[in-house]
Amino acid sequence: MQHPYFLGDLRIIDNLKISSLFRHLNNRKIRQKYTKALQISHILQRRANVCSGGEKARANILRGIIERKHILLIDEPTAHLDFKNSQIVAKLLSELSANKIVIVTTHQPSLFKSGNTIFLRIKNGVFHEDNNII
Amino acid sequence: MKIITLFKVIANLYKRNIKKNRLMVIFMIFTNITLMLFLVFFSSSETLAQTLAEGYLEYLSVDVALYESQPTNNPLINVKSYRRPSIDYLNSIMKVTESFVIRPDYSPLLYEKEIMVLGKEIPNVLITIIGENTNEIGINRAFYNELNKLVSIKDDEMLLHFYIKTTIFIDDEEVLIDYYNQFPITYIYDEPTYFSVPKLYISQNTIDATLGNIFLKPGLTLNNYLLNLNPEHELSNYRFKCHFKSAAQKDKFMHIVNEVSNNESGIEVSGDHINKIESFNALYDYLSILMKLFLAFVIIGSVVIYVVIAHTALLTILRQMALFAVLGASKKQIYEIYLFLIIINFLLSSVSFLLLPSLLPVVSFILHKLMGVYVVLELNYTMLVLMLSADLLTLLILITIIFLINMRRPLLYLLIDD
Repeated sequence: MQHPYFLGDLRIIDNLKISSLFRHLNNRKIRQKYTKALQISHILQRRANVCSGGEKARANILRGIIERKHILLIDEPTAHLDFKNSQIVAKLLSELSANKIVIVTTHQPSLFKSGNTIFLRIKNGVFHEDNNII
Repeated sequence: MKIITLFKVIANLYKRNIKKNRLMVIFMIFTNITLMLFLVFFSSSETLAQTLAEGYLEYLSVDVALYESQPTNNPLINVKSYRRPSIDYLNSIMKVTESFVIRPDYSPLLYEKEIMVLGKEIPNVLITIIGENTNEIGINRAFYNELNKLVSIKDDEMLLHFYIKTTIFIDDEEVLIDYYNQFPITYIYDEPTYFSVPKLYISQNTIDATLGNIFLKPGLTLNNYLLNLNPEHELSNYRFKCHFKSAAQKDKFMHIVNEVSNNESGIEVSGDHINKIESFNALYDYLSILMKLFLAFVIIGSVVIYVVIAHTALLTILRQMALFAVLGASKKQIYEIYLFLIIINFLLSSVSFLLLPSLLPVVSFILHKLMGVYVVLELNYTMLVLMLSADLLTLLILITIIFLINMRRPLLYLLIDD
């Protein structure tokens, strides 16, 4: 989702806690860790509908992380972010790829340049490996 | 902490549909109040009839006649012949029900009366003989109002001029009764206004001591003459007047009457107040049918409104439900959230039941205004609990069906960007 969906009248922190209602996960520590990494501590107490697109995008990535899924499928995670925040997100996703499968669609492949990244290009509906994409 | 988050989520979802929820609560309150009124109506029948009956001053006085059905060519037509029961027969009943006063019925003679108060003749006055041991003469409010229309009543002292002029035949001999007396009216009784007619209350003692004590022949008082009439004599009016000492005694008597009476023959107990109660019960039965039809319309209407509101409310929060599904909620958990939202409305509308203690006096007041009797209504709380449970059950079934219909398809597509 390029436009992450949150319950607008709830604070970001409450939105992040919703998944704990349905799963018996204690994700407090992991949430705190990645909140710092994504540099979104300042928006946790804000209502979602007053956050910018970039802030929500990062909060959405955090929501994906604390879900503790083995595969993260992310559509343009840097779409609403400035260059600095894009770098932060890209770095974090690269780190996460050490333990999870992270699949990202992006128009800024250079941000995700790291040792273990496989770049795929879609051509005529078929994936082609293309590590010279950058 | 989870509970707080849950409440925040529920509150958020509830606020999203606040207008629909408000509408639903209003309709639920309306339905509850309507159902409560119906319940009051259906459970008040006996109390109302009893209170209405006891509201008449002559409640303990009845006319008793014997009847027999006459054979007719048409089985649908029931012709009865009446005769006055013998005092021995009534005495046999008295043994069971303790002693009560049996007096002749003066009605045929009293038809010939003329009543003047403050110089005005009051027509169509029903002379009501009561068993109370009093010499006081009273009138009911309808009599007072009738009089008030004819003459302006300046003080409370009213003198009643009572005339009877008629002839009766005793052994083919014509006997003239020319009777006059005057009585001070000492009280005005507020009887139920339900089809009330002007009444003059005279005690049996007064009748016996005045009109009953006139001599028709040397050694023969009117009272004795009427007591010893042939049971089928027209002047007997085919009945005796019986005055009971208490309501319990009357109830016992009525029970015996019901036991010994059937279509062919039996005892007929009559009186103005008995006719009124019978007509009231007939009216009540008719109203009950109308009320039941109306109740059915209210229930069907409420169900339709619940369905429409609950369905549109669910459609509005379907995207949020999709988010919950993505975040790991099972359909059961999503259903529980939806249920919670509807139950909030149900609980809020249940506040209307707090109105119940004040609703009963309001209904009593309306009945007081309509019928002139103050009825202390009591509610059947078992029925109320049953009704509430049925209401909740219907709601649960409806929202479950609505939920299942809307959750047949996957929800994820709702979160995909346009």
